[in-house]
Amino acid sequence: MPANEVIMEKLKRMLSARRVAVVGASPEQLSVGLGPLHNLIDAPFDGEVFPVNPKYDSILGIRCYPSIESIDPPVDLAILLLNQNLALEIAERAARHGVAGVTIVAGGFKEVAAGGRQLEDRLRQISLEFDLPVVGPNTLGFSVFQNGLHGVFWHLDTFPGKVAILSQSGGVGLTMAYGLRSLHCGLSHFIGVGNRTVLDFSDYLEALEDNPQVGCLLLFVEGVDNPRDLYEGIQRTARRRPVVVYKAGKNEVVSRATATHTGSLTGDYRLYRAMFRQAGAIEVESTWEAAVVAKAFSMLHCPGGRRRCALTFTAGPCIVAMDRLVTAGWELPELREEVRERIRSLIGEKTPVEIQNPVDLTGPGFLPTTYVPVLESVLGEDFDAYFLVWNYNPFIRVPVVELVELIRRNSQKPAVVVLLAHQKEAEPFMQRLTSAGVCTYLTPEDGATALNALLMRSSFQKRGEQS
Amino acid sequence: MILPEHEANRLMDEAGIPVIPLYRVDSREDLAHQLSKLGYPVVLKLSSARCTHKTEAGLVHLNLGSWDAVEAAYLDLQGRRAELDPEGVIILEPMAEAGAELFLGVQDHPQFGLVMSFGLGGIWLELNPDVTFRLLPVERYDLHEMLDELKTWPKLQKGFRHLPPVGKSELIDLMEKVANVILNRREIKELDLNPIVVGRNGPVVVDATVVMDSLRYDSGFSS
Repeated sequence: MPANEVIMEKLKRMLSARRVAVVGASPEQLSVGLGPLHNLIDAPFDGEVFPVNPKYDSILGIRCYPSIESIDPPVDLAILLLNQNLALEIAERAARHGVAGVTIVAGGFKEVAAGGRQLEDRLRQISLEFDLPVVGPNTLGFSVFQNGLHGVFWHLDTFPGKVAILSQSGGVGLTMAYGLRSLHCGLSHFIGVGNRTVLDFSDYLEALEDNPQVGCLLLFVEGVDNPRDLYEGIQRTARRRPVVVYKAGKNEVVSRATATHTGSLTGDYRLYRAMFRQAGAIEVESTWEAAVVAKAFSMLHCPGGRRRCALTFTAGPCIVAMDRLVTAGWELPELREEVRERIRSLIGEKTPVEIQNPVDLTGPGFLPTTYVPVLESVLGEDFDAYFLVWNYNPFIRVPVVELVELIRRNSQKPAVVVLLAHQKEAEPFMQRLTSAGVCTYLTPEDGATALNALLMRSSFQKRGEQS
Repeated sequence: MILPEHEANRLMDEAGIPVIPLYRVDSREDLAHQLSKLGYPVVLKLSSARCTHKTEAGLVHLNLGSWDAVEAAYLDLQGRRAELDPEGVIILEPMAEAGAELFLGVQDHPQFGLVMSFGLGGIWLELNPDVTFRLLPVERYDLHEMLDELKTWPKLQKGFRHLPPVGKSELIDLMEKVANVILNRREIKELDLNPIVVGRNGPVVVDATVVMDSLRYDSGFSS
């Protein structure tokens, strides 16, 4: 059941919280009670933080409060770092006091058999009674990086960016965040949805779908109780923002005995898969692919058509990428005669290569003085997207400034740069190019995956035009 | 409850879905009369709510090309009816022309709600399923995408081996009508059209299994 309007309003208040209580805060190194305090203090959070713990007067130099009721006016968000029984009690007291919403970190609810379900039912009742939004339980919590509201209790090294991660697993969510981090891509939000007792994926999607800070939503889904709500949530959101989904549980064997064939054919994963596509989400197969695709959506426009140009001076990586790109429906139109002549004049009559698309400059292309003018020529042509390969060599200058300038000028058309170098060598270039708006990857496969996802989204956006 | 085939066929027909014409035969005179209009080859079946896997149970006689063959099949089915289901109905239909065999189903999934499945039908459905799914309601472009997702679609569309090519728009019309009939008549719980044979004159539902929600179903039919 989607959350009601009051809860949705309060959820938005939680996500832009200015006053945050950390209940169960502790100075102990090995306590989860330290995590959110550390994160909030380290992040540029310009709101107020209120540690709550009757045992202390202050923690990390911040005044500590004896109870949630002793903070007045009530906070926008209370992060409850308490065991499941105490968390329920404090959630109710917080709601009664007027706190807008709570995060319950503790596990021990429906995921464990004994008594967990009853606790969860009780939590649902409290939420109903007070219209209380609850993140979790059984979650890392959430962070909103643009505000510096870094409220998760675990370490998460990232920076403000445009990708919102909604994850049913803390560990998988963090892995995707780190994948993005290594692609030099930051986050707008990280939300561990946990057991989704009160707030479910569809509620978070609704809360974020019009947020201008969110460029792309990345979901990790294990399974939900009501896939229809998820379907409708994704469908609504995907009309406004790209939605990328990574679904676990592909091998579950579902055989339902029914009178017809239909029932027995329907493994749930296949239904989820069909549902994601129908809703207009892009499905990915790994945490890394999730990061690659989310980066593309957070940086690039979708292509207006399928006409793609590729530029390289080393054939193989382009061939590898072309396989994937052509399979996904990209076309490789020929270059105009004038452009071919111009490229021929740049690389010289004697270079033994046929000028075509993909443009393989071979030896002469090693030099920025050849590569850059050729790039300028093809960028001026009528293509919808560009796949640009640069094979790194420390003795040859990487034309960062030129790439940034030329690609920026054509920013309506998606361009990916594939920088062939190992991670450590590539790091400074990855950072400079990406932060200047050039969507860069280290392998041809990742570059192709990125362009393919953009093409798929643009074909979703054009749905209904042909039929 | 499962509708007997001749009722399922009528329900589809009323919804404007192309079905193979069925003739109920209650006597040998009836049979001879229908045959004089239909010609050969024909199919004789026993339609019974108690037995949906007709082929496996030997209740379908295909491709009957002479009066002797038809008569023998009729006598056999009369015997089977007496032993299986006295309320069963013997039905006569023309042999469907050769064509690709497809499958279309709708189920009411406990979590996903109404789900449409579509794919390669007949015996291939169980051997090596090439199936695609969508949640209802669907847009027309969803139906297009369902066809495009089938691995076998490119070959079906061209006409696999000796089979006539499968046209996209007629098939999509049929799928859309099936989606509508399910959405408009919520007493239908599950539905299985298998096979839909796509001959030279377009798709025809040759066999329909319809499961009614017995709580909602107010039988307007009688067997």
